[in-house]
Amino acid sequence: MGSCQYMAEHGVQQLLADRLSDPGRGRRQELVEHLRACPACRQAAVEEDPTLVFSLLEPEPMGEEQLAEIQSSVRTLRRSRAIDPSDRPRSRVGGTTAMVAASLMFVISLLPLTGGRQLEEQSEPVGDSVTEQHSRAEHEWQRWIDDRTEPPMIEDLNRPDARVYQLTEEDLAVVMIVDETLDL
Amino acid sequence: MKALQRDDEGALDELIGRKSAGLMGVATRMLGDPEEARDIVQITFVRVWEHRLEFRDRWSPNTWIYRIATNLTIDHLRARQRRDRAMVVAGSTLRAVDSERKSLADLQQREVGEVLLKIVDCLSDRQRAVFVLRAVEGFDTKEVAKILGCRVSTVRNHLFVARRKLKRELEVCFPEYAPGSAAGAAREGGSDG
Repeated sequence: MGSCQYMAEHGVQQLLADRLSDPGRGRRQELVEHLRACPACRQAAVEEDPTLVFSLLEPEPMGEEQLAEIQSSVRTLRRSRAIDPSDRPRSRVGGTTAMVAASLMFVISLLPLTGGRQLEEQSEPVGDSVTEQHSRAEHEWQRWIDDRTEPPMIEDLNRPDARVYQLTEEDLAVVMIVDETLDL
Repeated sequence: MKALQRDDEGALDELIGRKSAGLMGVATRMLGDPEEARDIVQITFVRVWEHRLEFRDRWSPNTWIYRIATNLTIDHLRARQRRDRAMVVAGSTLRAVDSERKSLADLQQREVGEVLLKIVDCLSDRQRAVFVLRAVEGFDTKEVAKILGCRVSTVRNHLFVARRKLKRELEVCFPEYAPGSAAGAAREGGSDG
């Protein structure tokens, strides 16, 4: 171990400190290559921290044949998805947006059925305010979705178990859609 | 990336040629299965192609591609964990422990890779991603933070915990490589006597 110049200069603790302190790609590579080549330093470093041995793993080379296989599969996948959009995994954002839009449309379509009389009696066009709320809510949802890289995916809105509760006050209509199987 | 954005299919082939080995390394070490890893790599390139127009010049192409691949791998791990939880574990694999003390430092690359694949399951998907990207693939902490979309301090915490867990798992699963452990010491005492 003492015969290694590298070790004499740095010492194990220094080697490990280097590794832990983001020395940059170049210095890290130098350290890793030395440890791969020098059994004494490798032994001393691994005694200090066994997980260091995993940092010495070399990337497995990829043969021409494997590469060609990946290129070909990617080409096939890409074309099949371009031809048949249903083949593409459904976008989570798209799925969620569709769900939200469908829910809101459902709420709006219910209002004339249950609150129609009230709407006629009112002088102010509540329908407009509902439309505004709808677009504001949709906008909020869209922002919420945009802020997230991985929004939750909703498989399907068409749920027979969904329950709709409606509370109609003088100037406020609240509609709640409850579905215990809805996984947000 | 410019060529990709001009719909140059040859540029995609070139990108596959340059990035596949690295992506395969990350996905294989995270998933422990080269076949699944290859699927992830293929889907990564399909996603790169499909979203090429969304790429912004200020982004690092490397970080962007690794981010897609790492997210796909984490999604896959989570799906696999959900599937595995639903299955009854039939039994555990028994491994014969070598009575002779060995050093991890003397193992061949292939053997080290196998040891990692056997113990990496003790890590959460995020810890696993951090350890593989930072400690095995050699990305610096900032790059890992960008790839995973988290803070640098979070990466450091995950790395610290991952190393601690892996050390413990090594002692439990491979006592012959852990000279400091009680099992190793007892065996050494036995062999002396």
